[in-house]
Amino acid sequence: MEENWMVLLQQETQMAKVMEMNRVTEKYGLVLSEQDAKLIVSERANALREQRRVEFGGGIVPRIIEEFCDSDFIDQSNYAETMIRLQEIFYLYKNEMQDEISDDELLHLMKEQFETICFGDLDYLEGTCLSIFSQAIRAGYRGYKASEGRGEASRFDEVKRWDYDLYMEALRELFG
Amino acid sequence: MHYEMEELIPIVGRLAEKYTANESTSVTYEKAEQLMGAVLYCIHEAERQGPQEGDASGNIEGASDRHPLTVTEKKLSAKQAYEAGAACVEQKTRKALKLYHEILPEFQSYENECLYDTFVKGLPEFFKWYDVKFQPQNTILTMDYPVLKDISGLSGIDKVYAFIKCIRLEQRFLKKFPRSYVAEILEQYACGIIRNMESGGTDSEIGGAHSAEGDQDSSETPHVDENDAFYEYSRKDIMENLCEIVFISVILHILARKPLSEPIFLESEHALLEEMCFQKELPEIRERLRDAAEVLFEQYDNEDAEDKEITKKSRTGRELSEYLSGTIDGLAARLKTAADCGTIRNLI
Repeated sequence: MEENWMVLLQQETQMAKVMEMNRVTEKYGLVLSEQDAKLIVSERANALREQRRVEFGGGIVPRIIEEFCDSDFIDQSNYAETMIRLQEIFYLYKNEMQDEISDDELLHLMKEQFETICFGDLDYLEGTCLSIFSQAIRAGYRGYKASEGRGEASRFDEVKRWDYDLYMEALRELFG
Repeated sequence: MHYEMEELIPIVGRLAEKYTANESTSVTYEKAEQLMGAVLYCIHEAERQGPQEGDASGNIEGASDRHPLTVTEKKLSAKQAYEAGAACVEQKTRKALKLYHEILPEFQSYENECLYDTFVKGLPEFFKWYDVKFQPQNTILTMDYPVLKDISGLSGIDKVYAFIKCIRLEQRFLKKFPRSYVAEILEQYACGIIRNMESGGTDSEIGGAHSAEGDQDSSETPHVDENDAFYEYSRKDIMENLCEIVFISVILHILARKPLSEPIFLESEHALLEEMCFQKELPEIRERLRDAAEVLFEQYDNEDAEDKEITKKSRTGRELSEYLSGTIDGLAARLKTAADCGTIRNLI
């Protein structure tokens, strides 16, 4: 019985909602074909099953598309593939963060890290950035709530991103 | 359950939205199962009774027994049934809390830790943490004190309410006796357990009162086990139903026509009971015990009769008769077996 009703839920069609998002994304040069939309929706079901989650209502895919469509690192060639990976990462980290974080907070956090730290590298987003942040959340960090997950991207970053001294040294070597 | 999954899923979906405060579109399998459990629990509650019936009779459990088909007869949709059931759960929780508060001021645990911990320490925690909306099926407590009614098939507030009602009945029964008398019977029972442990289980089965020689031993004294380790066992440590222990003791006194003020049975009384049980068949012994119990229960009914608010059906004696009927059957079988084997002295 458990399987049946959960499968029923996941079989609810998301196709129309995903296709509707083309109206929003086409101004960024991003359009999903029906085949792409089908693939994203079927991968959504796999991701949910793998992460042992049940989704109600509209689902998260349209929200992911809306959040990421203006990204500097997504173009038509990697659009569908990136959306599939992003939804997998999203469900994984809903679990890793023990549902302490809302959908919007997590999406804002993911987008910011994707743009400013990972520069479009999904493996880095999944394996490093979100992993560190999820550890902080499990340890009790709730500072992201006030900003809805914005401005949090580098809060727990362990890597020094910009070494001013090294930059100046390189400049000196090059010019003078 | 007469509802299709397609009807239930939207209800669970709405409940999940409330649970996440619309901040999450997905939940874990475990949470979804919990929410589905909550929906089914409420629908089941509605199937067992309508809120109006519970109100009218003032007796939720009685009403639930009388109206098993309310939902199906009215042909409520799953959503309506869920909402009606959720209202029943809330109402029952309020009633249970009210009843608990009524019992608590005069509650007497006779220093028994199991009863005290379950009723005085445990139940407030239940009411503190019980989630009427998202997890009404969770009983939260283990409720270690064993009541005589089988409530193992119940869960959530159903179980707790049934438990509280059992405790109310037990308290009414025990309050008829002086506190010191109940304490003495329980202490003697504890002594019997110690004797049984010391003799490796060959000394006796545990009944109500004990023989004269055995009662020389004080339960307050520490005992020594085979490893020379000390252990203590008194009425505080009993993990069994206190009402049943006292009831058996009283009923045997009535059977032997012995005053309750003389807790210790003499050899002649053992012989009398043994003879009585040996000569009679099990149904006859059971009947005698029932008759003796009726004499006792009448005392309660006579007192209730003066109270016009108490209906004939809800009189304490009648309720006690139902509540303790299993004990009477068990005691009859034990008496018969003991009499046939000539060991009734050990049983009493």
